[in-house]
Amino acid sequence: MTDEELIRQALAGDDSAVRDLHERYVDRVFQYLYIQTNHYHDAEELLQDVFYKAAKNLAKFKGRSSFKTWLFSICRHAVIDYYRTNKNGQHETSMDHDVVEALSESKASAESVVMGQFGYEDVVDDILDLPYTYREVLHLRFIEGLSIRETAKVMEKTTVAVKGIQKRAKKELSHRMESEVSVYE
Amino acid sequence: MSRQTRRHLGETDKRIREAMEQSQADLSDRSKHDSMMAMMRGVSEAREEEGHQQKREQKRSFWFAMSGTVAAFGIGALLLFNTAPVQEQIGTWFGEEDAPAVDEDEEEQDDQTEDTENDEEPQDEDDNEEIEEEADFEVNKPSFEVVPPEDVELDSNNRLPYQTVEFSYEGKTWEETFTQFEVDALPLNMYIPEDWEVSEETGNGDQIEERIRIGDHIMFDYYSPGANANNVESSVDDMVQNKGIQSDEVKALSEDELPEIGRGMPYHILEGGYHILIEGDTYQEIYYGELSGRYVKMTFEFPYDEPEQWSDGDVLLQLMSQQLPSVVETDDQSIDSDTEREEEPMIQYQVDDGVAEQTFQLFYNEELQFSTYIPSTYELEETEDDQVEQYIFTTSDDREGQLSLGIFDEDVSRQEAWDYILDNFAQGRNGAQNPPSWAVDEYRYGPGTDATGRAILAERNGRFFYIEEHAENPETSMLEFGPTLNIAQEFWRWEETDEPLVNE
Repeated sequence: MTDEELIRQALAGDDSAVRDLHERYVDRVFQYLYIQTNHYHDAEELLQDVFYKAAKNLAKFKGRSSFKTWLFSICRHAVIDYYRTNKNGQHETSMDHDVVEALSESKASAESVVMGQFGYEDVVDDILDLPYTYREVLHLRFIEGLSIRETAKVMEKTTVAVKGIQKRAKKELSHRMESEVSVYE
Repeated sequence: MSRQTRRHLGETDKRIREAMEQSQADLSDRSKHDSMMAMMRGVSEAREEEGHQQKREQKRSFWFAMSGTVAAFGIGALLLFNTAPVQEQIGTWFGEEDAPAVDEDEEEQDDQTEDTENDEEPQDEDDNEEIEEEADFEVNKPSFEVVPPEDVELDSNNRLPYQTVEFSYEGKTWEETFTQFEVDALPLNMYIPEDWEVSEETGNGDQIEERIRIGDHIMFDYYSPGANANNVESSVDDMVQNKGIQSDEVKALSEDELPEIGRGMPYHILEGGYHILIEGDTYQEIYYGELSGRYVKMTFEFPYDEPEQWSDGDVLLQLMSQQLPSVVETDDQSIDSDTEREEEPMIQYQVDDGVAEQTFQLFYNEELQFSTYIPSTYELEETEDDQVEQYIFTTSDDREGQLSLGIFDEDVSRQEAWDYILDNFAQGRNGAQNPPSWAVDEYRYGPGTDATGRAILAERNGRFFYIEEHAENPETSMLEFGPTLNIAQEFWRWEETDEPLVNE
């Protein structure tokens, strides 16, 4: 069933359609929020905001872009608001603590969490240390698989600007990862 | 792109994708549940709102249908059952007769209008009498034809360096050369008789900020921004009084009598003018009007016994063109206190082969201490990078293009700044030929790229900055962001020195 069909059914009163739509996007939205905020708990809170706002405005979705693009635009604005309101409260990267704490409540075992992180920490830190727009473009392009045009729509930038940011982001991340490798070598 | 490079890029992308995937974190069941509940709450409100909306629409349809029915019923009732009072009333509106048919009705109204007009008091004939006798002299001036020279190269502004003019007067014909002329004080491109000397004066009172004398016969007075047409006319009155010129020697020109001005002038500049003929002394033509938000008065004065020169002013006016972009005077001029510049001027500028006019807003940057103008309809987004502070101006959410200004951090070198421009904006080969004189370097999108526009890198007091515009669609760049970038350059002013960006 397409997103648009699910939306129609959800608005018509079908709760299972709401659940399906949520299930389809919840992890992806969370990943975006997490990579953008660099803070697990804040991403969890924003997740609720995003789904509440998206659902409340569901009737306003006119299908001019894909639902996914529309949803990620809402995510982006939520992140912008988040940074606006947390301007003075710098969030330190507390990946280990946050993730482990959160995942202790998830299905994943503590062992797998720790093992999963082992050896990746530096790379993850590299990514989370990237400028906000770099993380955003890399996430939308490489994880979400959005096209340049879709990414431009979500990021409210021109395609040229998106290409530029992507180029710089890739260069920067590659450079950081190479530095990590050379340190270990 | 070589196969090896492509493979390398593919590998880089793969590594990045893997790295990005590693940075993912699992979402806890509790959070999933909470966000599901939040979504349910939102959906329920959306359904409720949708329900209200439908009810509102139903009500509106109902009332619309009802009001239509009621109106129809009411009209029908009036026509079928209760026409007497209406007819009676109509009788009093149009006399004692029955209500006339519609066309008669109109005739009656017309008659009434005529009657009303006829009832008006006749105008006092004296009102039309002229209070002062006005001059009605005719002058016989040489006729002329501008003959553009052949095989002469245009300059960088696509202008001919000179023009040849063929005059004829009372059976005589002769040629004169008019050479290109422009002066900083006036936003005009002109041609003046060859070898005529030009002098500039500033601040000589009477609200005249700049006075430009061309030879012995032509003078331009450019008034200060607050001056208006009355100030200009008063100066003519004063001159007439001071020189003891008689009223029959001065002819105030009607709009039809004002000369045709300029090629490529965006609008009719001249508002008024005078011809002054003093027999045995001089023949003068004075014209005035508004130019870039300020009044300009043009005076052409020739010896009475040298009528062959009397058309020189006409030639000058015909060959005149306004330098664009330029500010158009508006009624409400609000001045910014920091920069003392107009906050929202109306600016005229060249677009393709036409002239556009729109309101711009003042943009002031404290970091580099400059101000310029950006269309007031543009939305501004400010972003900070690890190297640069960016101001991105766009017209719509679709982002088909943008104009942006970027100010690099103090420790960013020229090479780093240039690399940033190439990384952010460049696609394919650099199509720039000659960067502007004020710039360090320029990138232009060349053929084969899917964007149009350019990015210009410059430096101020050891700090690098750039101005950039681009669009996916060449038309958007040509008609929107390209001209806007030109205007931003033209109106750019360094606040500490009051200097423009473009010095040429």
